[in-house]
Amino acid sequence: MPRESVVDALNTIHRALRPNGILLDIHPLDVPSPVSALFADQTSNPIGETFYAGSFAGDVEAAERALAVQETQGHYANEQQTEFDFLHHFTLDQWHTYFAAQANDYRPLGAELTTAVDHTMQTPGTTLTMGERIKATRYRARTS
Amino acid sequence: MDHGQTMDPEGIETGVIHDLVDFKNKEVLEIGCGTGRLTFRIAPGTRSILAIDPDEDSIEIARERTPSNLRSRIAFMPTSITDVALADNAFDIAVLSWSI
Repeated sequence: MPRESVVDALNTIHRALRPNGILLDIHPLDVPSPVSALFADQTSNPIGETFYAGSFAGDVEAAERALAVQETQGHYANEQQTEFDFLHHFTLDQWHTYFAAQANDYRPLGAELTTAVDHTMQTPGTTLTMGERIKATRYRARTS
Repeated sequence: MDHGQTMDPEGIETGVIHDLVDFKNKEVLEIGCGTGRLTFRIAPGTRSILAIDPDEDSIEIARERTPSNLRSRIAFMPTSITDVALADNAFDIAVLSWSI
């Protein structure tokens, strides 16, 4: 979402929520996402990391600032927050399709990781996992 | 984003969300529903969900993937939160799913 739209979006959501309604925000954190090979016997081996592009990280930061302003203005109260790891499981084709389609959101994959992926996926029955660190926050809508 | 990979087969996200929010009998607005992956995990037990996303292709996929037992309570709409016309005080819960 364009940064200038975030405030409009949060105001629209606030109007649409009933008094004391809940806003649940779920978004990734700007930290490296570990990549592992998951073998057929369910053992796994870390082979590298992926990194969000600066523009994507900037959008997340801008959204967090907008939410913080809404809290300051008394529109929402942060009631509970937690973090968790969200795992993607890829075949090799899915891996390439994903990073081709999401190229704007990630830094280019490093040569070391690309080599490790190609080498690892030669083992039959192997899948790739990538874990994104996610923050989930429950806000309570306040009447102002 | 759904590009054919399997996402969260462990159900960690679903568990976290249901620990944070009780969706039972609630009217829910989901912003950025994509192809409905999270929508289908939230929908059971809700009163209704309006799920929106500006990507028309994703909304079409979400409609096709909607389980028959959830069709009566989910409405998918191809629009954005800044364009959609919503009534005031219409929802108990709004979910921003990876969308800001």
